[in-house]
Amino acid sequence: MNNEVNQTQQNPNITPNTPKVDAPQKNEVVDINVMDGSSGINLVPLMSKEEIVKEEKKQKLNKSSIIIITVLIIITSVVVGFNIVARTELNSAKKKLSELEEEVSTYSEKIKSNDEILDRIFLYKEIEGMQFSSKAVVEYISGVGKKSGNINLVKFDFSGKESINFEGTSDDLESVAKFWYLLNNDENFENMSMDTISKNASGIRFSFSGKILSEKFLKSE
Amino acid sequence: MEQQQQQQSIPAQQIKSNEELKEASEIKVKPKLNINDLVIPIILGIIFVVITIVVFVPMIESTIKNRADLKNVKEKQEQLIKLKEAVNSIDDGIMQVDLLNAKKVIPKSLTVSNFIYYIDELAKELDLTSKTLSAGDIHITAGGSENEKQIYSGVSGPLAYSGLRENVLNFLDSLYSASPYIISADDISLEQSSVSDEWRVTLNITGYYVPERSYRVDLYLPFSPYTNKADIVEIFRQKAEKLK
Repeated sequence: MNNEVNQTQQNPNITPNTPKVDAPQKNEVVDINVMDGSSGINLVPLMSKEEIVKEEKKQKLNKSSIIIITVLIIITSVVVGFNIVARTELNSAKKKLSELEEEVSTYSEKIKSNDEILDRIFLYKEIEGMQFSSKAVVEYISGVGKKSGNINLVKFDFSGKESINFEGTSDDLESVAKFWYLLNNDENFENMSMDTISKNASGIRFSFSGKILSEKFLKSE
Repeated sequence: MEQQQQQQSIPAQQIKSNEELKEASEIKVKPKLNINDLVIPIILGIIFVVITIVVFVPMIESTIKNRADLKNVKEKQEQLIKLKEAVNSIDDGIMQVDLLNAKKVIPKSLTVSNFIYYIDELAKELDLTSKTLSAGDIHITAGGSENEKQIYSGVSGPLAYSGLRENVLNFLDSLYSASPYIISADDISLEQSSVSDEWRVTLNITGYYVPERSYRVDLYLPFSPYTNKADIVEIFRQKAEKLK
């Protein structure tokens, strides 16, 4: 039946329903030489448009499948490859580190000795390195007193790390006022203030307190 | 006549049947994209998703972690190499001498009597007199915080001397250098005598020491060679000379 259909499609002149009366026409069809290759009868039914579309889709799907598999293989290879490389590198680096640790740990005694010396160096810096010179402070304040006039300093108290109290005497208030002014505006002290001042028959007695900027009077060994 | 009519009607019939056949053939083989055709792509898609979740994601995570670890390991390697170079730059012999000097100047234990001698000698040199000399061991702690684990100990004692103003000031100035030990003077009070030119100084002297403790070696802590503080090492050397 299909063959008939095919023949019909190939040669519209030939119809299967043609009555036997048309025998000469039939013979004409049979007479075609199939072997010469110049013309022939296609026995395979022609594909409809839908069939062609379907076939194309199938081919596309098959191609897609191949592409997906290829991509999958490539991605797998890349991911696994990277993983293996990273792990190998890490293991190698860890091994090297372990060797290095073993080598450096032989210096542990030396490192301990270094730490012992450093401990003492830090202590020195903290305790003695930051000590200010009380002599320098006393002489500086005495110098300011001399500049101010007749100022005689009789007592100095250094308490805490930077605090200072000192007492003195004078003959005149003007010198004390000048002394007070100079100390107040001195960049080597902070918050210098007069605590007490009293005047009696023997003269004027005063006391100051403030903060020394110790970095200005640092000792040098 | 009838035959002629029949002959004329044949092509028409032929055409009609051809068209019917064509239609029939097209209807018969009307193509459809079956689910069967999609099975392989769908399976592949699912496999891809499953492999991505089960294999790729953990592997990528593991790779990222490995890379981060590798970076850390390399940093540690560099640190150890630097440590090795820094430690090698310190001469063993010189280090032992410096350690000995440092331990002499800041010993593991100290009493006021250890350093009071040197203070008293200095006072004598400067013609300072001491009517009363009282010194006792008062233990104090100083230095860094608990976290830094650098707590130092010290012994403290009050001292009092009298003498000329200049000598008293020189005494205060030379106090630190006179003592071979690391000391500090606190609560210094200078007062002129009301009856003479003499000045009286009272002060609290504290001598410091570093108690014995075990040093833990951590190779990954920052290492600073003590030789960077050569000036202080030299001070230690000079102070240690006095103790010989």
